[in-house]
Amino acid sequence: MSDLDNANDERQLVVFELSHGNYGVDIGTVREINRMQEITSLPGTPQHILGVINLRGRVVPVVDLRRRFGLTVSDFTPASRIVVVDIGGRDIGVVVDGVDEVLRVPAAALAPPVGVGADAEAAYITNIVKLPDRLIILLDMNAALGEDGALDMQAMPAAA
Amino acid sequence: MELSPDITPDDIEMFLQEADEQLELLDQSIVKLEHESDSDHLLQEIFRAAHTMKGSSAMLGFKEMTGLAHVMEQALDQLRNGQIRVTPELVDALLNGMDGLKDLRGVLSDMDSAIPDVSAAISQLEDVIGGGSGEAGHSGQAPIELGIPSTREPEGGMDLDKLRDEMDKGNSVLSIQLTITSEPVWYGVKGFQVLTALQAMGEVLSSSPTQEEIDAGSAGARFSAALATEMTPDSVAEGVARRVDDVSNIVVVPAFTPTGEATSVAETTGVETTTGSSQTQHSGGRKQAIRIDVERIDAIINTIGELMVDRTRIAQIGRGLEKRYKGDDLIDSLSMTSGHIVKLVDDLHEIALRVRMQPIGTALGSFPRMVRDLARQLDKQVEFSIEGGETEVDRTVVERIKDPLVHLIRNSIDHGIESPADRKAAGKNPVGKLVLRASQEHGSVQIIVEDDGKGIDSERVKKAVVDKGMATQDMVDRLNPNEAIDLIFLPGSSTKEETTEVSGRGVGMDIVRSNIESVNGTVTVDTNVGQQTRFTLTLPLTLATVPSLLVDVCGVLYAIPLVYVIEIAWRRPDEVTDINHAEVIRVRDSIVPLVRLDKAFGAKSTLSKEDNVHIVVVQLGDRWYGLGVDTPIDTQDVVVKPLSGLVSGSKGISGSTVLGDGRVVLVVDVPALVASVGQSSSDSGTSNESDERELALAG
Repeated sequence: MSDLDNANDERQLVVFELSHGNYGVDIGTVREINRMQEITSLPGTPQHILGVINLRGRVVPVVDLRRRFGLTVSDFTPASRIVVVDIGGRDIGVVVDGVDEVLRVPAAALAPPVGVGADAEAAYITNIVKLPDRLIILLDMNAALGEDGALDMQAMPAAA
Repeated sequence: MELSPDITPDDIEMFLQEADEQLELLDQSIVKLEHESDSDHLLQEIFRAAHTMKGSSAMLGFKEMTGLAHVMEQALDQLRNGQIRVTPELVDALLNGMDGLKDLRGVLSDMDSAIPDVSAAISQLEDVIGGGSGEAGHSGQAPIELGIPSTREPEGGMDLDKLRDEMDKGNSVLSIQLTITSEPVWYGVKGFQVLTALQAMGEVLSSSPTQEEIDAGSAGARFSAALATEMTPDSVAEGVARRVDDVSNIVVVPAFTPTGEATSVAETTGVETTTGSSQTQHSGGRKQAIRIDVERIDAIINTIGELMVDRTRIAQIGRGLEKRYKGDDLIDSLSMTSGHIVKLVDDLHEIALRVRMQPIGTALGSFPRMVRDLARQLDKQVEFSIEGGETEVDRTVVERIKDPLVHLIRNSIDHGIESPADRKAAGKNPVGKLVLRASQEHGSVQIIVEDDGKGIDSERVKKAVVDKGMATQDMVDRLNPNEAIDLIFLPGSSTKEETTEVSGRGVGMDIVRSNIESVNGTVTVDTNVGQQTRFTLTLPLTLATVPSLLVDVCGVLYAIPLVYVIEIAWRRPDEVTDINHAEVIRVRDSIVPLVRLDKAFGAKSTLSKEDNVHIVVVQLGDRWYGLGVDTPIDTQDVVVKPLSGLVSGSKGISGSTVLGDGRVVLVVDVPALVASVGQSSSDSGTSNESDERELALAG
């Protein structure tokens, strides 16, 4: 395991797929990763809100990030997962096309998001991770899901 | 402010708790006194409360409060002795005195604030008792009186200097009362033994009988004393019991809490060495209670709610295992255990829910005072009563309906009940009757607020609505009287031309209705012009679980709170009529708007045009609506969880719940649903029918 000196220079990311793109979130925001389960749809909510699921007795909303970002939407597959993230103390499920790995990357590999990504998602990108074989787009879930006052604004970090 | 030295924050905290209890008691009983002036019991209760306030404030060294409580006590004493009688002026003086005590009490929570001036209250009381207050004055120099638990006041039997010295030493003063059970010839001997035993434990400040009386042979079976000691009441009682035989009913309490006539001790520390005899000290029979943060209770109930879901799950898994491994011993004991757990969880749930229940009379304890003050302010005579005050309701429900109830009651006194002159002229009793009646009937609580005032004139309501441009004359003319009365629930439809201080401050009946609907309740109004007005509130027993009807709409389950449901029916397609793009059906003898849940929730119905439609008939206020569903399934108590953040704005949905099998069910927000449908349907047409619908639905 990494020693303390190293810890500051490294980030741990959960890397997942959305419409064939590689995305990542800081592992600290991820609570758990679940297989797909029945989603109860909610009337009168925006398209990207798929509905709610029962997470061991708690009712948790589920969001389709592909619709949120305006990406191509295909059917769920056996590889699809619901990633439960903690947004300001509230759990939100995020459907992804598959979870690839938990990745440890050196801080040096993080680059600022300049001119990359579609407009809809640009605001939620914190960094681009440049790896030898691919790019990973690092997402700020708070900004992506906490927008439009749909979430408690107090729970948002002041910097967001 | 200045208090006695050595008073710790804990002392103050204890005092505040006791003071709050006594003040609440005073609040409720002083108002009652006006109508039950011959009730000795009530008078004693008030006297005790005032006496306790005096004693415990003296203990703190809170001179101002002691002085005021003393004058109140004097007035009550004169009342008790028949020297003065109950008059409205006396009740006013006592109420003002109590308000003064409350103000003074407030200083203790905020030590930096100035001590309120209560001299007006004191002189008002002194006026009432007519100069009989000479010996004590109100300068805060009230003598400290020890309430010895005997039938007589121990005046003069106490050396006050001695008492102060003992208190300065940090000793507490206890009052001791006991009964000697030996044969009468031994009373003197036993009394002597008890006295000796007490002297061994502290300084005996006074006793009855005294040493001299015992020596003279005039001792009786009852013995009481005041003892300055550093021992606890419990150990003093034990000490006496250990040293002396043939004594019983030993009661030892701190002397400055209620004693003698003041027997309402919340938690007596007395020890009874024999059982079976009833001693007055315990006759109050008050239940022991602790205060718990409501949030903690809610956390417990929520956790148990989740446990309920898992409990069902475990039972299901157990049944599955039973089938698979039939006859396995381990499985048998598993299913027995899980069966037991199911029962325990159910019990736990019920107990937890009852923790939140509160008699409605307690919650509305301030109402009699409010009614009295209002009536006097408006020069009206009102006899107010709460019936069924013991009916228990979830405190969250009570809290949310308290304001609406206050509003209804203010309305009744201000607009409903006429002035005594008007009432006489109308051949009525000049004293108006206002009743709040609570009762529990099948899973819900009904609260009725009824007055015998002038009623609500539907013509005036119509006129007000038209004058304010909320509807046209043509529209209101179509309404029957009941529907017209219902217009009072529209925002801004107050009929009172001038606003008064009491009501009509722009907060209207619409707020009352929406508050009640927010707890899944309903409100209706009946009125007879010139005779009475009655508001009927129907409320759920608790908000923690909601008895609901589960229905299937396009494969998704929804829960409709049963409090709204009148009946379940079905109609053939040809029984559904289109009026101005709005579907209606006939239920019993009325035409009822049909709201198809599939359309309302934007789902694609799996039913074809030819299928019969199942209808859940719901009631909101006086109006009925039909909710079209695919299939009604079952009724079930569901634990409602609010929808959080991202999905909280879901239209027509008030929350969600999880069934035993893990499925998520959405709880239908019936008022929001029918209101929104009403508006959208009236957008599409401008004819009178749809206007009428809009009017009726907008409430």
